[in-house]
Amino acid sequence: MDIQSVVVPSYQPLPFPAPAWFLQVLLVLGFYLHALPMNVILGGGFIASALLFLGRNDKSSYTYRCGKALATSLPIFISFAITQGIVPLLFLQLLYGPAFYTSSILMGIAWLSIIGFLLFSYYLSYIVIYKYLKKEYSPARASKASLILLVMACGFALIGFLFSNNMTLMLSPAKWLSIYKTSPFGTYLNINEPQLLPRYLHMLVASIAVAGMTLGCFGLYIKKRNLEFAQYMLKMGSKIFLAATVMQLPIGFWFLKSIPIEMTQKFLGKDLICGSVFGASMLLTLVAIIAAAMVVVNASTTSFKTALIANALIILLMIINRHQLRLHYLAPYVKPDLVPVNTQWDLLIVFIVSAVALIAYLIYLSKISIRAYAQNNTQIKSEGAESE
Amino acid sequence: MNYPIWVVPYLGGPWVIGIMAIIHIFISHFAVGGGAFLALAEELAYKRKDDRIYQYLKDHSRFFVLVTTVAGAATGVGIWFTISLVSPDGTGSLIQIFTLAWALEYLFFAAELATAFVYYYTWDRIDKAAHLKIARLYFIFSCFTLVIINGIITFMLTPGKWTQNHNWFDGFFNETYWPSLLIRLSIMFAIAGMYALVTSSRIKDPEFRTYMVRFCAKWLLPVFILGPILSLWYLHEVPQATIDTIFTGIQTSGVGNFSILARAVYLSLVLSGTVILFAFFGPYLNPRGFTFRIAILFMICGLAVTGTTEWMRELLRKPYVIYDYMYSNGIRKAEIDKISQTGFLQQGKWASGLAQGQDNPTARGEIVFKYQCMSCHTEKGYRAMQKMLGERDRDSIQSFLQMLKEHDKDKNPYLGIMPPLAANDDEIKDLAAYLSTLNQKNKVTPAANICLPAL
Repeated sequence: MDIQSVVVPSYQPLPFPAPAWFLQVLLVLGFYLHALPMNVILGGGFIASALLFLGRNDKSSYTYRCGKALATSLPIFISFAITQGIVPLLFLQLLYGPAFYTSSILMGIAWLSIIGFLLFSYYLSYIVIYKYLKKEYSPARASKASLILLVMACGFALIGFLFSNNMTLMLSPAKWLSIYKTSPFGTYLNINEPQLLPRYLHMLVASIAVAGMTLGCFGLYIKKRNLEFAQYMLKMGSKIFLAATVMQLPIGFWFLKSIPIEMTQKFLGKDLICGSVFGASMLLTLVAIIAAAMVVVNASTTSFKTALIANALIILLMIINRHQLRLHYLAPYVKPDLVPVNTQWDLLIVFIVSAVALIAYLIYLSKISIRAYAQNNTQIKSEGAESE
Repeated sequence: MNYPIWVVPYLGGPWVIGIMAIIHIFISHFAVGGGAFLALAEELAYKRKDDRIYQYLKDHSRFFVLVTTVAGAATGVGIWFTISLVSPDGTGSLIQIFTLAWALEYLFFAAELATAFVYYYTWDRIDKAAHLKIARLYFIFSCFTLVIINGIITFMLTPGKWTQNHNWFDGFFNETYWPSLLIRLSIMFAIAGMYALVTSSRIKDPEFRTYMVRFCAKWLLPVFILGPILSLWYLHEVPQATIDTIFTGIQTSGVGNFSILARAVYLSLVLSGTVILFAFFGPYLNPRGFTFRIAILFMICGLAVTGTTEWMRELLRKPYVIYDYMYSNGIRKAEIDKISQTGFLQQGKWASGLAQGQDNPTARGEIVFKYQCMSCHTEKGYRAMQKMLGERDRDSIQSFLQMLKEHDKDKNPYLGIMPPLAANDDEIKDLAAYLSTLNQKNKVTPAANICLPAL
């Protein structure tokens, strides 16, 4: 490649407010906290749609009730996904702005359309609840709810696809100049990129697995109130998780093959850190598969919790691997480590103290909500007993 | 010059930001002011033990949550997307200066949203005193998000001592920080009142509707009383050069006798006055006759005021994106002299990358045009160069461009609203060659009859 045709913007002539390694940690952790709710809504939309469709003829069926529970929870997860998205977006712009801004501009129209799709799908998630699920049940209404959820989920899947486009395009500075010379209007999509499709499918299928785990968590939550339904949720969630994770084996292999061979080798052991993280995630996948299979057989909560923790760790390790892939791709072009640092200690301390305070506050809010709903359920139960 | 330029035909990039920003501001101001409204109205319901107000608030809070958590949050992300597409250097600078402030804002935003959901989902599930407390907490957290973002927005117009010492604190708590914070708060109360008028106008019981409509109208009072004083305070802190541009400005940058900025200021004042008079004679004095349709009309007026006021605020900052540091086209003030000597197409990664191997003068001129003019102008649409250049030929365009290069205000009257042209003499010739092709009449003359190569 002619080095003259690789055009990478410079950083601003200003210092970073904290050491680059610290900002990298915040980027990875921030993305992790975004990826969890994001996976729930992406996979949860498809799963809720399928469950509502399968259980559309009987509102008392567990299938219908599972679908309804999942669908009703989606707006809060969407809100969390957006809020948590701020952190990785902020640190991505700071650390990799030269690559990220450029790729965003090259696909500007599609990139901006994400906001439209987000508004569309987010409002659909509420429409399903208020116009269908909270209204009087009918099979036709359940079918319509399932259809709208499917449309909503497709909207989110499209957003994910556009993100995958940008996240891969930002890794290929060598392509940029010729793309821009073809069209300066931001009409490009990175569909010729070999890793795009397997990478996207890898994320999409992972979201189905996470949605399965979410369903299992609902089962844990209602276990004391309704054991039978809780066991159904645990089993159903674990089945979904297992099916998706088994599918990941060929997709993951395809993804690994789609990246340049020298990168593949790093993950297979040539680079100690990359290889260790990758190896650990594979081992944990095995643990999660075995534990989930046990839940399918005996609905054991211990096994489910094992699978859940293993899965949470797998996601974190995969995100670290994803970050390492970015580091390797961009190493010759974008070097955040070379940007001067002038640590804003005052703001950093305020930030850390506030972050701790936020966690404490969120715990306080959760307690209020849990108590409010527990009281309400007890009230409903006692009212029900009285009327009997 | 550091990044590729995203070309938005006819509309121009800044309007993409503008449209997104106006919608977001109208919603986010509701998110903050509406928090105060919910807390105070719930306090009223609590003290009066009035179930009708509680019932109204339950309905209103659903509307509130649906508007602010969905459209407010999504358009907030939208602003980030648009500013990074249109002004990557400016966005990159702001993010680099205020990374941790933004990170802090995220914490408050997370607390605000979590509180909004707990508030909404615990109606009738927790006791009334506890619910009122949640409402108050929501308002406090939403105010904190304003406290932070206000520092960053005002920094762009008045970066204060930051330009000398690059200390975030000096940039953040700058000259316009406090007047802007108070103006925004009073506007937020007014916007909260307007949104609440929409939901109040749908109350069925006429007596209660009258009561609530009047209560909502009172929310426009702070901006009515404090608005003029705070605006004067704000303008007093704005750089003198900007104030001069308001009243003496470049008449040709608008049509008629006022500068475009003066017209934005007057339009904003007239519209604000109309809304306030409308509120006083409408819902306040005649709450019985207030209907849903009038409430919607009221909202449209409110959106128009928000739009023109934000437009005015953006114009105040011209020609900078960060005052006295970076021009709206992403070129830093400190770079201008060097660029004028060595040439623009040698500087900046993307500008030089695109110019590499390009010998056609018109094509080189087009690159200069994209980087130095397109952050405000389009070829044929908004602030169209085709219209502004009129029948000028290549030579007269060139002498005009030479004037734009001057740093002395007496020689270059456009200096207050346009960045000085940063180019060497050859590049000015190239730019003139390109601009002359925009005029159809010039296109057919042999001298300028050069086909535009695809960029």
